[in-house]
Amino acid sequence: MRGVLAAVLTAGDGRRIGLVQLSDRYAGDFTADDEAVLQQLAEMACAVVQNLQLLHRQTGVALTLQRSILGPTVLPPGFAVHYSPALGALEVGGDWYDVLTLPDGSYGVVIGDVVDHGLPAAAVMGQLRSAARALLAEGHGPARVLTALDAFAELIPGARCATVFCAIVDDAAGTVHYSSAGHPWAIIDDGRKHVLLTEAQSAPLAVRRTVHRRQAQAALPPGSTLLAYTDGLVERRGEIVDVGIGRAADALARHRDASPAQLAHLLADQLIDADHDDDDAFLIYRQPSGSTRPLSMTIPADTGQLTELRATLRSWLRAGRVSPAGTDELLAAAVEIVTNAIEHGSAGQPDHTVSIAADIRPDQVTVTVRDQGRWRGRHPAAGRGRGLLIAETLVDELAIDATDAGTAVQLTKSTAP
Amino acid sequence: MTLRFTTTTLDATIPLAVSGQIDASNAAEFRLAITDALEHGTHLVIDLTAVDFLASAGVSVLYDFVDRDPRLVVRPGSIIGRILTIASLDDYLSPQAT
Repeated sequence: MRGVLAAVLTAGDGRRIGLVQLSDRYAGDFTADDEAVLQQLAEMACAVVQNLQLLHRQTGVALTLQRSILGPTVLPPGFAVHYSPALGALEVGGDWYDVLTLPDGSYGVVIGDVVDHGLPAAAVMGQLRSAARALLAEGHGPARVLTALDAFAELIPGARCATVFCAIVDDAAGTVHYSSAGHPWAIIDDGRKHVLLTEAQSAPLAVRRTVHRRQAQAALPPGSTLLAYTDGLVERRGEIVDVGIGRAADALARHRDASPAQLAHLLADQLIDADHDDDDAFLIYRQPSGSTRPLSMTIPADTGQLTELRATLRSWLRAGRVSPAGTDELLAAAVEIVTNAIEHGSAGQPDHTVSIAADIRPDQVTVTVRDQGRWRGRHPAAGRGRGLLIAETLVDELAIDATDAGTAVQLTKSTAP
Repeated sequence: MTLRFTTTTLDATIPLAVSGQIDASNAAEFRLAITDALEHGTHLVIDLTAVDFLASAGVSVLYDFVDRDPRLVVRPGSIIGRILTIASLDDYLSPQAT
């Protein structure tokens, strides 16, 4: 025994999880006593390391489970959220928010508050959130969702008396349909004044045998902001809640120029009481203002890109309030021109690109498609001629600008009804 | 892009139901489905009611089978019906679509 002394850290199941090594004894060689001490040391270290590993695994599991019951972190455009559970070890609480895109392109929005906080409230919250989400996805309106949640909440101990605000935000129509189960009023700032969504108020979940869930509609003019929240945003000790709601409405008016994400930070800073020790959640939606930003994108010359291109163009046209029929026609026309650019303009070479620019003016939409290829004229018998014919028929104007450097095709379509 | 096809054989009629979006990226798949369906009968009915996008690449495929005198079914008033009309395939549209 000289110079170096080592002990393997062996777990109960025989796995080797580490090594303790001693070297260069201060005086003389390592002795059998040293070895015994090291062996004990190694066993103790082994126990500590194993406990830590177990704790890491459990924490990981707990975090994963918690995150799975929380609302989505990737939100559709125009939305921002703030979520902070009561102080403690948990990342979730009894408050929740949810946003989901419905099949028709509108958005289902939920914000809710389970009585109490901490782990039991979070467990109830997760169930209510999933149920509300499933009901919205099934196409039910807000009042129907809350009615069904009543029945569901009766089955879950701890869900009784939870409050929920449920809404469908239709950005294309500029409306919000909503229903509230005892939840504090949501607020719309329309750019000049604020409106409280008080028209569809009824009791919290599962407190009465039968509750008639009402539903109401409010306008979301261009550029307006919807704020739905749980009580932490508006409640302060020794103050009636109306004061807090007024404060929130004032903050919305003060920050009309802020983006939804910036607004979420500002509201959290300015409105949530530092002493507040409960869950906080709020959700912001900003309706696009009338002027939709021009769209500009460049894609590889590959027909595999068409699906995504169509989805991007469709949501852009929707945000610009182009009618569904007009959107279908423009999409069909644009895809013909882009396909033509991919297959002929770029000679099918994937390193070539096709660029698409689109712009909405008050009464018309233009889509311009550019490629680096040469315009080949039209061959009516071929599929390409047919594509051009389809495009030409579906828009008001089709202009072709062909040079040696490339070809640009511009589609113009009136958006007047 | 996924296209879905369902074929059910009833006597000599072959209803082929298509759903999804048909463009240049999957027109070949569409052609194959029709070719397959034709092995099971003679009278081809292509149900396009669940197709939400049809580009000229798909129209060209349909043109390849016009000698089989197919019946094309679309949702009334849909863009698919308009595109088939623009492409002069309206003769093959099922009467209820017009």
